[in-house]
Amino acid sequence: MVAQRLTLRCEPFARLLEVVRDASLAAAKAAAADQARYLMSYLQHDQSGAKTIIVEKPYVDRHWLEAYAGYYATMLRPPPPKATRLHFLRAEWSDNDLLDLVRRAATGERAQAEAELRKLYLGFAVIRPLPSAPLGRTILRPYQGDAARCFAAANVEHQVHLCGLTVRFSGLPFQQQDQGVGACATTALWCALTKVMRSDGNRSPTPFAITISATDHRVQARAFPAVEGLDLDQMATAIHAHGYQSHLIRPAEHPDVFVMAIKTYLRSGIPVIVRVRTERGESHALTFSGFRDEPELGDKDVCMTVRGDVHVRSRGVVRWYVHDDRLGPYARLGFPTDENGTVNHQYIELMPREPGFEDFKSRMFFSEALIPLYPKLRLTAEELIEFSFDLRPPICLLSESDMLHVEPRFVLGGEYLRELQGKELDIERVVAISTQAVLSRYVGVLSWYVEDEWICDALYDTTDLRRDSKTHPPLIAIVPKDPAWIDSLENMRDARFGPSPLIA
Amino acid sequence: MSDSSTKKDAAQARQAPVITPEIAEELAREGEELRREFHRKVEAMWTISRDARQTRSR
Repeated sequence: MVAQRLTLRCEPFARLLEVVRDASLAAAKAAAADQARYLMSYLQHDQSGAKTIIVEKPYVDRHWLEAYAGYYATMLRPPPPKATRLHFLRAEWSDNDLLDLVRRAATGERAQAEAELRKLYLGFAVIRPLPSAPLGRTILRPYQGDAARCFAAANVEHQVHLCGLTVRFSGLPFQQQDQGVGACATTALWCALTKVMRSDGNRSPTPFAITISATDHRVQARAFPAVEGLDLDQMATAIHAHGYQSHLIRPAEHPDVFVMAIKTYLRSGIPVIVRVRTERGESHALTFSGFRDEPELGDKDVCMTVRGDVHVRSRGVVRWYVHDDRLGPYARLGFPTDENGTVNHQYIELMPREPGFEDFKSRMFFSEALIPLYPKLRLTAEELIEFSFDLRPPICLLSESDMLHVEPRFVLGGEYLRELQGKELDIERVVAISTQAVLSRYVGVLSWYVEDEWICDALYDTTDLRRDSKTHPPLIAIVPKDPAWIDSLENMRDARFGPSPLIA
Repeated sequence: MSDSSTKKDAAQARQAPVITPEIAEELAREGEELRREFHRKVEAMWTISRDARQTRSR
């Protein structure tokens, strides 16, 4: 047996494409994969500012190893079973800088050394020894520069171990589709399931395990190689097999409701798998991981209408951030505007920052969205949005404003109370809510605003479906900013909400 | 009299809207009617055709 030694070396970030090519065992003259070019574009942007790659070889990656054992090991000429891991830093480092850091950790300065590494650390990419699909599990920090961006669905903490040092950071994993063991649908499921399962304290699944679970009961084509892709029922089966409920929606004739539902789940930290139809008529699956909304109400609002009139509105989505296995993590998408400047919420378009990705800019029409839900989260985003129609008339009257908007989300009950304790409310009111409200594990929250000012929250039980109109909505509490509203809302409670809701 | 107390008095003098039990009944009916109509849109979003279910994403 040949002795194997770990090798670590620092490379300038500008050499990324060559480093990926060599690690993937591609030919010297092979063109760079689109995903490698995208990775370069993403990391060299000012908001990441990558300067150095630490190349760690060999690296044992569970996700690649499982694909290897289940598929590649039985090839006549298999690729190597071990991969290479690239760590990205936002500082110029030499091999000596890395060795110095390890020396400091070994001489009693571990905490400082780890803090320094954490400050510089941008994420990592596992490079598989597959020239046609080099990018394995890749986890990058999302850009942090703009508070209007919501990356709650990408907030999964990871621990990276490097030379005995541990770095903790958050990001949503991405990997390039490898048709041997998975299609774009598999990759999209893997990204989304990794978030929800890790958040609930479970181990993330592998793409191989997802393909197995999707094709376990209903096989229409070969499971491996996975070139035939997955249909919706198979995708739903994979979610179910991993302990989650798959909620499926389509835009129907109401793209604004569809957009608002996606936004609601993303704000709640739940990634959404969206199937789109490309201009060539193909079905493609993406994982939505974040969004940025308009700072003010205006032409781009997401509007809920009844009988042609807008009754409920939410701030418009300017950008979606999407894990697209044709490109990479946090790819920017937006709604193209027509010649009149109006936004059509039926289709989206990639909006890459750098030139060189023009081929991906064609329109993609929303087909369906598939959401992996925690089993006790039974109230859907659409139903939560629906409850805003109950509350809109009294809130409109009390606020004396038509510039109302609502931002719905699901949040852990305990987390909501922590947020409430940070609001500028009378302390005794906060104490009353914290000690009297009986909350479900997840609560549905309708937060109402007049322009930028928060004016009221309504909290809903999420452990049941919406019942018919004769029953009261599952309202747990209403928390207005202005205590003068309480008497009025108590009258509303008697008229519509039943005796249960706490109004404080 | 200080500026802040003047502003406070002015705010109190302004008639803040109040929802009486009678108005509450009316608003509840309005909200419930709108919600019921909106629910039809939601139900349409939950109906997925067999063709859509069997379309593969590659």
